[in-house]
Amino acid sequence: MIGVGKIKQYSNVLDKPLSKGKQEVSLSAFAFLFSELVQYNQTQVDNIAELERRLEDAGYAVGARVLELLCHRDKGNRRETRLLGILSFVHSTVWKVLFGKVADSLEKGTEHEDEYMISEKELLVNRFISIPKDMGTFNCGAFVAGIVRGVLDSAGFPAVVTAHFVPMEGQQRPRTTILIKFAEEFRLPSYEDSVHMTTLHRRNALGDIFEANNCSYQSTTKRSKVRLIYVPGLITCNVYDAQQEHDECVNALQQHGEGW
Amino acid sequence: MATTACFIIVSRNDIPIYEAEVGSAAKLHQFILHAALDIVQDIAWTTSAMFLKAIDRFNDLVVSVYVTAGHTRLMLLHDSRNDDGIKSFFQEVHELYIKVLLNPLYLPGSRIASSHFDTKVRALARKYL
Repeated sequence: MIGVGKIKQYSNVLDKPLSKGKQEVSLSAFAFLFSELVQYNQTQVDNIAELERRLEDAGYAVGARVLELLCHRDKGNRRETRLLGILSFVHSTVWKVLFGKVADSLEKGTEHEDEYMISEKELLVNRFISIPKDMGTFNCGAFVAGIVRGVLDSAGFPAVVTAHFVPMEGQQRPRTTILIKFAEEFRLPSYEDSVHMTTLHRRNALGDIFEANNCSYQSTTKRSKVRLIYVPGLITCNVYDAQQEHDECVNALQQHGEGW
Repeated sequence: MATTACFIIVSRNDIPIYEAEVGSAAKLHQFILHAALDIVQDIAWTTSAMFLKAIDRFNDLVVSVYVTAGHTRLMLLHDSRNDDGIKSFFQEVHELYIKVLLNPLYLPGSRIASSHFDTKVRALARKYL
């Protein structure tokens, strides 16, 4: 027939090309789905804290995927290595793709160094939800808080993210604030230093063994200070755990004796 | 064509989630790739590019690494010097990885067990390496 195009059928999802992201989903479909998600979780838990945690975990899974997808699609394969970079990425790109508009505001907390807040007049997920009085401060925005936590955690900036209602004067409905509190290591003078300190142990563990056994220990690349020497009989394991590898190295060396 | 190459995907928590070998396989390859993880971690925070070129050498084998936004490292141990081919290889595998990750039933950080993924990665390896 003239003019009828046939959509190419793919046998496996890995063969299908990644979508361009221009599709739209009906708001009512999403509202129904989300309300069902909340209702289902309500039947599974006994208290509000547990319900919030479950919604957050659901959002975490979304956040981890959204980060990878958007960095590939919208940012041309550039990663975020700075705190402000990832925050503005969440505030604009992620919000725009998920909710159709950038977030209302991104603020830095005044009391603590490592607190940031993303505010929204009304979260899309809360639009068709009303909280009964006996649920107190429960906020279904915990799902969005989970998404933000998923994005930050996967990008290497661990944080505790929560959603709060902030009443505003002159407005009937309270504003929602996503509060982001970053983990301890950001308080160090230099974040790069702390990352450096935690990763050196793996290289040093191997280095100590080699030095203790009087092997040469020399730099071959500009950055690293350890040259790997193939130890005959060394068994490598698939569990990438520095302590275990240290022990296995020691065992292998002891077994091999001083022959080499 | 049968050059030696060892390709692994390591998740954010330093757990390997996929491994593939081309040519002669040796325990040595995994050892070298594992030891290069430290260097990757240092370099990853200094640049916002995803493709980090050759970051480590051992004899005549070179380790090249590609870091995704979620800090999943695609690491390749190879003996060729074909930078462009390797970059295209990484980009294609990255797309495949995103498609696997988008599966809501796939737990991020767990092993990729799909045989179709395996077939496609090996086909890409033959094409670009």
